[in-house]
Amino acid sequence: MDNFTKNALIGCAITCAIVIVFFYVGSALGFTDIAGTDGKVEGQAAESGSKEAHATWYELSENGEYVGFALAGGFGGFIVGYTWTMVFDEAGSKGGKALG
Amino acid sequence: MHISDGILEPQWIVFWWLVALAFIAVGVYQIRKKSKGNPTYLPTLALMGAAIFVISVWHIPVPVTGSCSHPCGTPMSAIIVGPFPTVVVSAIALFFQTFVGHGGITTIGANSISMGIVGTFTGFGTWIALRKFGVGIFWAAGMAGFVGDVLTYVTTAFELAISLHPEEIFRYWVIFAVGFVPTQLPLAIVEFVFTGLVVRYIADVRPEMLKFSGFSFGSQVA
Repeated sequence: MDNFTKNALIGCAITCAIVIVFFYVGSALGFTDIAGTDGKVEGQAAESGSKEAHATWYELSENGEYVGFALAGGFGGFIVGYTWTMVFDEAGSKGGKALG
Repeated sequence: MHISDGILEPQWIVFWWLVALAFIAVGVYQIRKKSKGNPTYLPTLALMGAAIFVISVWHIPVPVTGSCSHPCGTPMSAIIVGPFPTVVVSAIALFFQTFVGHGGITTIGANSISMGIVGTFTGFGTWIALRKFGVGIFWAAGMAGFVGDVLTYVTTAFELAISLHPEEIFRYWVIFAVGFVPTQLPLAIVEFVFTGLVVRYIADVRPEMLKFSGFSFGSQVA
């Protein structure tokens, strides 16, 4: 494993750790009701213009979002993993054949 | 910057879609051109698309304001793969984000304008301008991230104002923009830092990746 890949993976691990820690601390401190600014401003705009926002497909439950994100992440991960060497392989970066 | 379905007036939905499609068409053309003879371009573009999807849907809480929001990621992508291709992957990311309750189908055009086009081109323009003035890679890329992030939300506020209050556009533009500021400003600083770090790191270890955008500055060393 070259340094770039190693550091990228370390970066991912650190990012995940930060997310988990913030998630835990936020949950423990009762920040679970923090609303998104998009939704807040959009709600303000909709109210001022007598409009009503609605979901495109359907509202996923909180757990549904976790499952959806996990599936999307897994699916995307396989695609990225399959093409990983094409991006980072030295031969590939020089325009040669670099299929993993 | 994710405007949901049901908010914008139909004529503005159509208008923003048409403008976005013009940029997407140029982007598709550039992707085909850049990927010919360069096997690393498409996977890199796909990675940027995945990064934009995650970054622009990842709500980060700002406890002081009691709300949360997300960075954009498009300025970083523009620096690496170019601005027009970034418009394309940004539109794709916006489509998939509708499945997790962010934005809407009818508003992909408007959301593409704010995040995919204004955020991308102002960020990329900042990067090019600062690099031409000899500013270091971290600071130039960081400022690109900051400017692109802030102007994305300023554009969203404009889109809401012009559609919902055409009689008092400027007044409502300011009102909606001010609504974004307290939460978005700290996140623009976050975007400054990570854009600067990512581009700086790529310039150190894979400087050839920064040539995908079509602009390079010598050895890309600050």
